[in-house]
Amino acid sequence: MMIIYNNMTFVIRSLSIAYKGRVVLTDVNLNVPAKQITAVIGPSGCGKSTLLRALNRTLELVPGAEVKSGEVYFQGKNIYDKDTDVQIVRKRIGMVMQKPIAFPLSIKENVLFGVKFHKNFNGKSKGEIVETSLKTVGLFDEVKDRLNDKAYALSLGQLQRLCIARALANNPEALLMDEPCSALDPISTGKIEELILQLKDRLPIFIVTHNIAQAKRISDYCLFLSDGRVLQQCNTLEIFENPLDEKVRDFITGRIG
Amino acid sequence: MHESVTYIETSIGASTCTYRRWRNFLNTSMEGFLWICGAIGLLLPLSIFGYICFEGVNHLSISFITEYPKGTPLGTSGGIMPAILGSFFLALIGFILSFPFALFGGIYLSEYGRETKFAHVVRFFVECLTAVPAIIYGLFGYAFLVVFLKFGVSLIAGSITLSLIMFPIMLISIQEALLSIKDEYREAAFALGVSKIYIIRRVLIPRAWPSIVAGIVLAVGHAIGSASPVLFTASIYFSKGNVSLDQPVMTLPTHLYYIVSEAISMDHGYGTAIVLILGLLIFNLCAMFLRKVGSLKQ
Repeated sequence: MMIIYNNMTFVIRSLSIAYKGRVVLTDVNLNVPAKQITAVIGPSGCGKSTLLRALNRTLELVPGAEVKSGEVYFQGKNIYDKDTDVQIVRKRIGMVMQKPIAFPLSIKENVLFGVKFHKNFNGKSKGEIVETSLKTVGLFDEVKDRLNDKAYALSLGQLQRLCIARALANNPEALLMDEPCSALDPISTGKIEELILQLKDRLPIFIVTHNIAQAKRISDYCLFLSDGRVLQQCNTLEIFENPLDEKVRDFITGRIG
Repeated sequence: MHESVTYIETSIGASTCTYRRWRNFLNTSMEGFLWICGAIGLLLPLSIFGYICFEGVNHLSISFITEYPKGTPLGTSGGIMPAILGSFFLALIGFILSFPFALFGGIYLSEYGRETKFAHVVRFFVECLTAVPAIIYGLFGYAFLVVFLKFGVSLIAGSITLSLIMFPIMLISIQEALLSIKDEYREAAFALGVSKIYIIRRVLIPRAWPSIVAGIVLAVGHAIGSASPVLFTASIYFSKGNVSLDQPVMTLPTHLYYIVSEAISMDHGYGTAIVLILGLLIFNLCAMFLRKVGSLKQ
């Protein structure tokens, strides 16, 4: 099937996902233009992370999870086509997890983890890649004297920025973030939000968040999920001004979490 | 009303005081008892080692370590160099033979075959294997390797027998070490689009390295120290220290066994025991060092 929306980075068509036979996400449709921050919000267990993971095919790492129907087009190509190289999909669509994970390597090698595998140097030296990636996330000055030290020693906020740098070093064309600030203190959260807004010019970002205020601060477009269904999807301002559903209203006004 | 309230307070206060003393006594004595039990863990090895040192330390000398056994009956003078060499090579070759299989087997069970029936069956039999007494391995080695395959009593027959003892211990500890790594690590790595092999090599093995080394130490230490698996398969009463795969060797535990059971020389026995224990101690220290180096490695 050819895809008509050429100016869209992501086009999701009637995507449904089941977990061990039980449907957890039903009929999601979404068009995502370049340079847009899309927030996925909703109560716990509503399928936010599931949706996010389906967008770079990390969902299939969860035993029992499968895409039942629908398509996810990324730059005109369905990533669930049989001839798709999963590794390339994951390289092109970067991901940042909820809990920052440092690999048992040095800070430098953590940044280069994906780059070295994909041999994706673009004519740059390893040092340059490490430096640019760490500078983008504002970590370079903090760690430049200990690039060869283990990454474990970093604080949680620094680690999360390292994880973002690691994803960016891969030179992705989109970034998925699964509650990237939920384990962090307010100051680190602020830094990451600032970073997300900076990155907006480079690539479209999907962010799953629990934090309504955060969605309001940084996102352009909101997708409200409840029990695996989209209850409302519209520009962020609109969802706050004009919640269509009672559940949406209760959630964004803080009556239910 | 007021009086009764006061009365209750005093009575609670009084009972609390006695109760507290009793409770403190119980706490202190319990802690003391637990301390003693814990101290046994330290005291036992120290006193065994101390006693053996006390009895045998006069016998230790450079020549005891560098010479081969002499005297009549053999073993009353001279040294135990061939036994040190024999034990070293048995353990080394046994380790080389079993480690790759244990490592790749552990990786398979944890990363590829997890939760499969095959993995459960393998795990069950491997666990059974660790519980098999060492003498059974010795008997098997003798019947199968020495007699049936006609290896003769030789270094290679003993090494294979020891590798059979080491394999299940290492396999289980490597599998457990990998299983204990949270899936978050695998997911974070997969999300970067890398392959499974790459993740195993660069994330999982380095992360599991300290536990893998601990498993190796346990397995090799166990194998070096036991006499029964090599008794019929590799050991000989006397050798001049030449090491060859198709020839039998002297080993520390069997040398100890011979000279003590034949009442040849208790002094030599204690000396041999010290060397064996010191060897294991040095081995453990090397492993501790390796563990550190491995976890610092990039």
